[in-house]
Amino acid sequence: MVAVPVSLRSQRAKATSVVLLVFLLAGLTWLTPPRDEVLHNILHHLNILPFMLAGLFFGWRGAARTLLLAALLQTPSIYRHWHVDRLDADDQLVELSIFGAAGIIAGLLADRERMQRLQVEETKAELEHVYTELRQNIEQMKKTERLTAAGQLSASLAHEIRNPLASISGAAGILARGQASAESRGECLEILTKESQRLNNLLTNFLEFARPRLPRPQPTDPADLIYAVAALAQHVASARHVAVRIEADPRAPEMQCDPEQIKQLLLNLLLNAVQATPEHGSVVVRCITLPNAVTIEVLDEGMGVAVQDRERIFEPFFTTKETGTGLGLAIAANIAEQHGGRLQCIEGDGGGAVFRLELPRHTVAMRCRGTGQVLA
Amino acid sequence: MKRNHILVVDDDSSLRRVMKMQLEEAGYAVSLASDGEEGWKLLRSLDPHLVITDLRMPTTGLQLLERVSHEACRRR
Ligand SMILES: Nc1ncnc2c1ncn2[C@@H]1O[C@H](COP(=O)(O)OP(=O)(O)OP(=O)(O)O)[C@@H](O)[C@H]1O
Ligand SMILES: [Mg+2]
Repeated sequence: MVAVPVSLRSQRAKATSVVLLVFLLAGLTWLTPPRDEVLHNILHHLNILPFMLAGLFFGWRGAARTLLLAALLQTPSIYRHWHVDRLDADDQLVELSIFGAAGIIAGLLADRERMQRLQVEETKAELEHVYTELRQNIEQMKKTERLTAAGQLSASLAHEIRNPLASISGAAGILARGQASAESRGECLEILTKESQRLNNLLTNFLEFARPRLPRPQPTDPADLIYAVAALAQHVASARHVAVRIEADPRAPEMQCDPEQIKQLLLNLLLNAVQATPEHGSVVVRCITLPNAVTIEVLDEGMGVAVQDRERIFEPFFTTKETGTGLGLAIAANIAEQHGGRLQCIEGDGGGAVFRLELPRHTVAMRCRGTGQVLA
Repeated sequence: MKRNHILVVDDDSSLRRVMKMQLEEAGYAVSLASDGEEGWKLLRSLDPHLVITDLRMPTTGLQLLERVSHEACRRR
């Protein structure tokens, strides 16, 4: 047996039932004696059923065909009625036409609805198609972006490593040849120490940046955190005769964050601020606790950051310092992002830079950056 | 005899110093500059025989090169 599609099978069943109904009604009308008016009335009224059904199932064409079929089949009984009672026959004709018209109108409406549904389905299919395509494109873009980011990162890293390496091998070569003056030898040794230290710093920072660990949030007192960071930076600050002032409410409520990571973030900001501030200047760390957020600002008295550089300074390896790795702010921004917060560089009042960190007070979903996974 | 004179332009101070020592060892007179701007000034005033420059610097080495070749064309 040939397999018939479900839709066709049900279409056929519908058509069969409509035709059967028409035949049944015509047969019954024929069989009912013309004198039995009540029964005839009922039968005539039942005619609306096949027309409506045909209209709903097959549109106005289906209803028209059913009307034709019914008229054809009922002609004998109409003819018979004509002879018995002309009014009755007229009645039958009028009813057939009105019910037929109703069926056709219902069919028209059903057709329109079907068209609309079809259109909606078409649009839906089209939208779905566009959506999948868009998703694929975005995935593709993300992948290439990650790859170029990884490529750029490796290129920058290579550049950053090559310079100290060249200095180290150069200095080692001079020492090995043994012709240099005592003064030059001292200089070479100093360069060796300085540059290996620099490489070490670079790699530590880079690993921190490339393989950030997820924050481990715990209840933390923001003021404690800031005092701890100030203590860490104290050594560098006093060497430059820069005062660090803290404005934090010691009674501020606790917040949810990874204290080690936030300390590292703030230390990076504070060291930058101290390095930017001229001797005998001061740096301010200010903490404001709101019901749902904590804002920590680091203000300095340096030259500030030019507007066009305010985004770039957060890029890895962007540095204007002789021995900087350019990773301090990249790491800081990363930590802020993982905490569901953000780090910005904004205009200060006195020309100095202001770095503003905004953190949610309560833990939100912690996120891991894409590039880290590629490089790890 | 006058020693050949080389100008080294690099923003990395260690690298600069090492190159100076190496080139002096090899018998050259060496001057140092830490960026393209300073390099250009020294180039004009010292008129060295050779310039060795880094490309990735604040005032880039490329700009320095452009100026040098421009100048060379003019002199010819
Ligand atoms: N407070 C500030 N005032 C002015 N410029 C700043 C300040 N903080 C950062 N910058 C600029 O942003 C650059 C990038 O800073 P970042 O901390 O990422 O690296 P770095 O300080 O240069 O290197 P490292 O952090 O390894 O010492 C700095 O080189 C400097 O030009
Ligand atoms: Mg820094």
